[in-house]
Amino acid sequence: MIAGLPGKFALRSVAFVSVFLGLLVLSGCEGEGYPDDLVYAPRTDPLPTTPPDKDAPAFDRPGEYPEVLFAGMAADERGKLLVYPAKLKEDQHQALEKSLTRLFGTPAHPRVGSSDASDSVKKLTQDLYLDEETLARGSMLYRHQCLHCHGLNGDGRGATAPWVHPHPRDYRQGRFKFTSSSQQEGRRKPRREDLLRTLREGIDSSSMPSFRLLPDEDLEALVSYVIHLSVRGQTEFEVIKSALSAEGLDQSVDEAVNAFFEDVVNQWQDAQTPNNAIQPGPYPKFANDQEMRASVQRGFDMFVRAKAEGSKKSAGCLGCHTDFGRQSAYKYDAWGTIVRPADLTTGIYRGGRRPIDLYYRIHSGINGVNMPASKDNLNPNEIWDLVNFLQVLPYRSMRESYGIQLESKEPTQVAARP
Amino acid sequence: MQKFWSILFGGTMLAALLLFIVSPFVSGWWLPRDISTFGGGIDRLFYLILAITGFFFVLTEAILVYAMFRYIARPGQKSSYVHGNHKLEVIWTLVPGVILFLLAVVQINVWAEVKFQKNMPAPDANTQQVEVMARQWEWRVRYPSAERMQSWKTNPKLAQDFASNPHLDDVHIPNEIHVWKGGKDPKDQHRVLVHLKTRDVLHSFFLPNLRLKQDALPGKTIPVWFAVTEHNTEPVVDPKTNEKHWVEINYDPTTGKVKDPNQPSMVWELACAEFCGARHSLMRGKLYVHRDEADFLDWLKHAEAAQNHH
Repeated sequence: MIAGLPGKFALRSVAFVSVFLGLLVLSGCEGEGYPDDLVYAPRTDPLPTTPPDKDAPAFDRPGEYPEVLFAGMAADERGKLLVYPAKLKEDQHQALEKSLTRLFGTPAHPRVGSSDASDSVKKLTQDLYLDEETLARGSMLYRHQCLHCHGLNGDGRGATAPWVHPHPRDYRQGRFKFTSSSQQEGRRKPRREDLLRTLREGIDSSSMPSFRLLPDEDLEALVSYVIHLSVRGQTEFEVIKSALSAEGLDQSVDEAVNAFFEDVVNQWQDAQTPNNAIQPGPYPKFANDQEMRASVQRGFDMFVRAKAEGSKKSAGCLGCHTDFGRQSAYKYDAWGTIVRPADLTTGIYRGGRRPIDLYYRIHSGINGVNMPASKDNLNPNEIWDLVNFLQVLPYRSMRESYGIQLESKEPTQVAARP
Repeated sequence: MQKFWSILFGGTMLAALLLFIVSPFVSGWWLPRDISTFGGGIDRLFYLILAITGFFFVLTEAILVYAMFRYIARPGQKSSYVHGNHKLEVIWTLVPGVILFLLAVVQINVWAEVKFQKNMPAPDANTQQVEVMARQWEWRVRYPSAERMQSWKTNPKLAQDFASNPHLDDVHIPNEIHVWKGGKDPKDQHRVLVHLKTRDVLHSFFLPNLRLKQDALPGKTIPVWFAVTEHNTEPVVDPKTNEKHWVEINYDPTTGKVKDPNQPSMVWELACAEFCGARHSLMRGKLYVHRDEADFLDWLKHAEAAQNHH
């Protein structure tokens, strides 16, 4: 058909057809994974360390993240909180990349631990389904569903990230907000079911949607891949932080990578053991409505009381959840972004709305932000009292029937506010 | 030589037409299964308009291709200047105008049945109510608890505040619309009233199998109704955990695949039909139709228990 045409027409038709076909081909298919030659880029963005419990100015504007972490702070203050990977020496950079690739592979072929992995790594791989086949499938699904927000290496800096509030989670510190594990803070990792819960329910009032309609196998693969990204990210984080600390590394980069890797693996392994799950006290049986009323009232009292008065405990909630959360101040979190204590009058809870989810948050706090643990301050029944109060708080008719009087203006409707 | 373009046009259009003629016979290419009470009327309108526009489309494109072929410029030939034909132009304006007017009249009943608020089920003892809050990028669905639904049977007035007055024990499930089936006849229909809201930007509540689409507008609660005539969900007991799960017929939730490819897919989707940002195309949900009210309430009670986990 093309042969015999004058040159101009032939050129135009060929150009048209090839552009059309080229666009088709380049658009990619859903069932494809990352290209084989794609590698995880070395970390260049600064490492945030935990900020002081200090109010932030209003949250960053759409599109600003992640240029400035701890936005609004004075430059010298911010400088103290950030660690800059650019300061690593060239040979350290190279050694780090080599070790990380050896241990964690590439986006298209991810793994956790090299073939000569220690027993603890092998056990982790088994218990947390971090085998190469699951990770490869997880990687493909991640590329399709998660990459645009959570970024290639789980840095929470995908294309969509600057435009949503709160910003997507950066997995590279090994910190996840909503956990039911009872390990020591700072070493606490989510249990696998916590990550599955987040995937199934989404995080209401954030941009994290629910993925419950994905097949179960896909959800399991995604959780495995997120754990892979987190283990990799945290290993890298700890090595860089250590190398740039005042003492520096007292071993080679490769040895440091192995050591931190083992430590991170142990943290994840610990979280999955049954005795490291929060054991909630049994929910008290209330014989009648009077007892329930008393429980709600106790919860309310503990919520609003600023300091313990004799035997009357204070949960200290009002200090951060100002006006029950309706006037909370913005605060910095451990990732350098800005969020605020939840508005508890909306009936929307990011970590889950089940009573047990509320129990976990009060019991052990929320990782990465300044929501403290109350497990040493309150006994299980007192935590359930607080949970009962929190459940009543968003509903005006319930508040009225339980005799709860909020001090300031009533909210006019139960609605979502970011 | 220059006729190449007219041949290219004509050939492409013919290929497209043939593809179109073949598509009703290829599985998955034509309209999805209609399981609603008012879908039939909408489909009939679709076919009517398709026939009319199809006829005129083929006619006008054939004339275009012929004109391109026959009257292509030739060296040395002068073009003729035509001032138009008033009579012809009146005819080809009036005839389509009358056809369109007739179509507008013919579709009123269908539109009224689906969209007029006076024809929608009232929130009372017999109407199932669901609140769908669209948000970037999922559907947050709120169901009344079984107890709340029961209270509407004894006191129908209580049913009127569902959209504006959430209760603590309302069941919140993202991305799943659960209803139960009824008959086709208006007397036996099981009618569902959806209170459609959006938390942020425009979305559109689209159930292809019900031929139902409604934009969600920020600031408004928009009523949407439907009634379903077939069910696609059955309870299944997991032999390992002894737990009951509700699963679409012929669907394996572990793999996400159809069990028997020779049977039709009973996965009925909810999609967002108004561009709403990065995940608009991934903003999907599912419609689960239970076989009867008892099975629906069984599911609802399981969901309540899961939500009330202490």
